[in-house]
Amino acid sequence: MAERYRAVVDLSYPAPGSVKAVIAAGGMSKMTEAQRSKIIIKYVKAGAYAESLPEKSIKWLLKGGLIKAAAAPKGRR
Amino acid sequence: MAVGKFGPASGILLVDGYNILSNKLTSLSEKAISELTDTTGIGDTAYETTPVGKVTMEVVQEGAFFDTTALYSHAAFSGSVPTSPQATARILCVGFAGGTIGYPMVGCEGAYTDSYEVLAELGNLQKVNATYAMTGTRSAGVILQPLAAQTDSWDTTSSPVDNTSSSSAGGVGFIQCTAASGFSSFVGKVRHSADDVTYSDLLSFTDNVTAPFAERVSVSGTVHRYVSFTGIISGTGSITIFCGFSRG
Repeated sequence: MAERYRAVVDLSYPAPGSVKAVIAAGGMSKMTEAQRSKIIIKYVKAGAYAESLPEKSIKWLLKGGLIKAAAAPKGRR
Repeated sequence: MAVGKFGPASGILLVDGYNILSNKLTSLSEKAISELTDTTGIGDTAYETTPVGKVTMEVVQEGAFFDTTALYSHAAFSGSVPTSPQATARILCVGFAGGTIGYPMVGCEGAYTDSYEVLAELGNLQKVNATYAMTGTRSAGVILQPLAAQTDSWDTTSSPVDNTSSSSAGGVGFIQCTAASGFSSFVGKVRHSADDVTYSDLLSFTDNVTAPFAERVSVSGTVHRYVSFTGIISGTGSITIFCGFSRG
């Protein structure tokens, strides 16, 4: 199972089905309005688990202390 | 940012949430002044000065109409000339290149309306001149959210300001709200991103729905490459917001 992370600050990122499209476009700001209308953005509050973070964002978020590696919830492995 | 010259339509002056341009200014200036000290010594053959590292600013506006309508010049200035050392400094943002995301603006940590002049003359409407003197620091930055009315939560991740790299000395955000009605809460946030894919909160302004208002919030540490603005609203209504950000 991929490691879980907890948001230290509020985050927003494309949901798993939308990550590929955002990265292929070169980022949120490179997308056309039509492309943006098709993607789903996930909003995570500080303190909540940040599920399905885009792989390319994890490193800088961890380095900046914006997310923290979290232990898996009890009952799950 | 567009490169070139700019005309009168590109001016911006917001003070404590008052859009001073509503009063039809005929002149606006912002002067940055670097404090210099005389460093000439015995044996020097020429006069020498050196910056001490402090920059102050003065803002002068002239030719506005004297107007007692709510949110116009009389409300903006009449009670704001400081009368005691405890007077509250004002939050001021000024710009000369237009209200577009990524275009330059200058905010100051605090400003005092150190003069407020009302003029009456034959054959003309009453006019107002005012000057502002700065306290604290002058922050040159960029516009993240041009002054515009919003009716629902929004963000500017489709057009963030790209600094081409991150910076490490924090930054300062300025928010100015010129009008608000209906909403039960409004929180403005400056957000940043290293990859333009995931955005995280950088700083938050205080929840406020009572216009006019303005706030300056500073943050330390890393500011990532892309910076955007987000407005989170509860309820139904309208709010008119400007936001600028300056990297440290």
